[in-house]
Amino acid sequence: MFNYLILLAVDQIKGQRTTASIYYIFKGRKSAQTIQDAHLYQLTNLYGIYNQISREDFESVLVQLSEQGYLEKTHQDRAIIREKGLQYLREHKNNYPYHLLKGMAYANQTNEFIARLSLTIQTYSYLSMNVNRFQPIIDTTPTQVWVKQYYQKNQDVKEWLTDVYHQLEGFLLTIDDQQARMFVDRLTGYQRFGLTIQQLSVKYNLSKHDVYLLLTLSYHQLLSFIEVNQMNPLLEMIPNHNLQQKKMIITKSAAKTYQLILKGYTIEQIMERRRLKRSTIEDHIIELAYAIPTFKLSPFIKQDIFNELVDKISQIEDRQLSAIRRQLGDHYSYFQIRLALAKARLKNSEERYDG
Amino acid sequence: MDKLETALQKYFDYDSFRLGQREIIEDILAKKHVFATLPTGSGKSLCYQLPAYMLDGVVLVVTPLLSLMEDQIRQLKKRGFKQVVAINSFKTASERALIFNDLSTYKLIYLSPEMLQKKIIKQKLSQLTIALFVIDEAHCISQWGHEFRPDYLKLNEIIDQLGQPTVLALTATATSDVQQDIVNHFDTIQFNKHIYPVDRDNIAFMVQNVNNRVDKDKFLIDLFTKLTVPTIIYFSSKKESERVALLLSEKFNQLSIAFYHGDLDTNERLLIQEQFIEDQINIICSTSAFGMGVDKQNVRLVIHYHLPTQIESFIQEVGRAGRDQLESVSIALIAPGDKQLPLKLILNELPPVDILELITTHMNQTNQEWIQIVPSMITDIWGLNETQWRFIKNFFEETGILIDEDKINIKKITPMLRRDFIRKVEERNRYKLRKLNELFEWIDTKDCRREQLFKDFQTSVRSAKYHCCDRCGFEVEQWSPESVVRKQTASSWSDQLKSVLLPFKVGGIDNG
Repeated sequence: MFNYLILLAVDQIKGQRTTASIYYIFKGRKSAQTIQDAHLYQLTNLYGIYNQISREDFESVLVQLSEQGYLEKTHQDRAIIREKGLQYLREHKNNYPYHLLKGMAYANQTNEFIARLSLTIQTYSYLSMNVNRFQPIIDTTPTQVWVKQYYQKNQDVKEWLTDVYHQLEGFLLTIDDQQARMFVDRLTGYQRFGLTIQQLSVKYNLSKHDVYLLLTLSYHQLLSFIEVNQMNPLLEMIPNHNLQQKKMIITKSAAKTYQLILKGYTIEQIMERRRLKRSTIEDHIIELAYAIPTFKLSPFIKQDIFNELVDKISQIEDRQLSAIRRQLGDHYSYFQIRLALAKARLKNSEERYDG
Repeated sequence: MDKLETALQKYFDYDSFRLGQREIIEDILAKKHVFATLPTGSGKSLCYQLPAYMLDGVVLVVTPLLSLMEDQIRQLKKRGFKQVVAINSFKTASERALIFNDLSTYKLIYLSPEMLQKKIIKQKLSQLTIALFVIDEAHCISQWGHEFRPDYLKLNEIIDQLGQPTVLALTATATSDVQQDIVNHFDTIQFNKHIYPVDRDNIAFMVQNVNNRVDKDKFLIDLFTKLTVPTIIYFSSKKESERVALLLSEKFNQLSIAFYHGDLDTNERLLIQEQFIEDQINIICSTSAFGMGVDKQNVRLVIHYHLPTQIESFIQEVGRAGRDQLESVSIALIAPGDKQLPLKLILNELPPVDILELITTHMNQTNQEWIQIVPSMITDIWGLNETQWRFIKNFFEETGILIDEDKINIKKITPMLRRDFIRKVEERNRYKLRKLNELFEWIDTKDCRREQLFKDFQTSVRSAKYHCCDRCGFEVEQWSPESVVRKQTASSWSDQLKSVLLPFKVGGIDNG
């Protein structure tokens, strides 16, 4: 699965970015560049799905794929896909439910949600057997504090376990059988500790990367399942489940700029207020244009110029800014082109321009 | 039931004390200073943890073992004891500031000896009422101890500064020379000595000589074909621990075998540890990182695939077998050339002899008299590991080259001083090699292994409760331990989900 996803990313990016940018997308780096890359190359599903991957591991998988002839490493740390890679993507298209990964939507929540769920299940499982001394499998204090507070509000242990049992069983029936088995193997309950990634990798004869990604996939599916069915008590275990802006992945600095834009500040006023360069503010605006579907462009670009640009850009295949500018001539500014690029992927033209 | 037993029952859920614990605790509660040797796995930490519940004031524990701190704190919290904290280099400055803020709310404070040297910490501690000052791993005080820690020599001073609280000095592995050294070092403190034999009469010893690595693997495969008991196999290489774990997993489908070393992340390590305790894992292939603070009673077999660098470590690792006092076995696998690996480890512990030249050249670029050392210099530019740096730091402090923890004056590094340094490195090196030789002499001994192993630690060695050793006629074939089979897990995921979430409905069958 890791191989598939890397090849997919290489194919989408077409050598227009370094391979490090792919690594950062998997890792979910919170930088404007990485977030824009994910949007620009339609890799938002992959954003942050593997935040434990190390650079060494990532590089060694790349080298392997290159040696096996799936891709070609080119100059300046870039990579392009080869025929064998394309064939692999075609053949495995139906094996990996890429569309069910919801990286950009859940990157911020998955780990903490699973930590809470696992620790609560373990705690309640032990309590249901009247044992209140056990080794918690999650060692981080905030999660432990959360579970303690959660218990204060939900003290009927057996009822909770029975509810969650039925909900999880219902969910697991909807996903792939191997994924379901791995999901359950990973859980810890009374006198029965969950398996490590390494142990799952031996048991299912998969690489540790694939184990990790399949678990992440299951967790994303679970999150969707819970949200769609508004399923309590699981729903309230999702961090920030009741906040609308939870799905926005933006940098802190861009968020500050956003607040000022909402108050009606112009770019110049924001520059002065925040003592930042114009280019920085422009970066923020691009970031916001990607992250917020309802972001209004009217303060920054005239509608006719925008439509014209979107139209022209759609005819250019290269997504590299310099290449686009070269083809369009000096008629438009970089900022305008980037704004158009950010919104061009939306289908409805009205939506594109003003949310 | 008297007061102590009631407390033991209440706080630890134990019915009775183990050897020595009661006597030591009674002395402590009567404010007498105690020096005690207790064998590994005999519940040393209980000797200060129980008093922590009972005494007014704080119990301070100085220990060099950072992982032990974390393990013990986890176990105490698991028992519901929350007023416990560790102050060590793992903690960030802001975490430490938080701890200092409510330092007075803690009953039990674990500290590394290095931390205890810091002014701010000394000052904070002097505001507390210290009921008991515990020196764990007290053999670190002795130059002749296998893990000499220079900072331990300064504990004297600190104890005085803290107004001479009751002192408990504890160790599991001190030869009689080292014991004397410890007591002499604290000349103002009158210790009540509690010397308990560190020999383990329920463990049989065996050394198996083989030709090479392949034969070691073959020996393991033959052995596990015959018996299944909770087993730890020790390695000094992470790679080898993984390789053998994989090999055995392939051979023994029905067994669960895992590897364990410092590269695994904390949560995964925790899972492996707990699975082993619950008998979900039968065999652990591990580096020395595994075992400390793992409270598993029924480890039946400890195998050394590689040997450590000294007898003391060997005794400690073997001591993880048979905490329940039932019959257990230690097997060391030896092949020609096996000395090379520990030799390499030893050389790696000492700084290269030309390191002072490197430091001088590097620091010479500034004209200031005292230059501050940043941690990245130590690892990245000088290429030193923690043990090597500790050695140099101690030398610098003794010779006045380093003050205030991190200010260094390189003008004081004279040619004569360099010679002194080299002499010191070589002396330590010779000492370490002697310790290594001791261990290999034990391997080659023709006499009773039990007697030879423990003879430097106690005046007389008890005879074996079950089998003794290969020199006294023990063979693995004579040992027929009861099999501890892995808990069966349910076959379908839905049954398994049920046993995790609804253990109260599943009943006794699936839960072993």
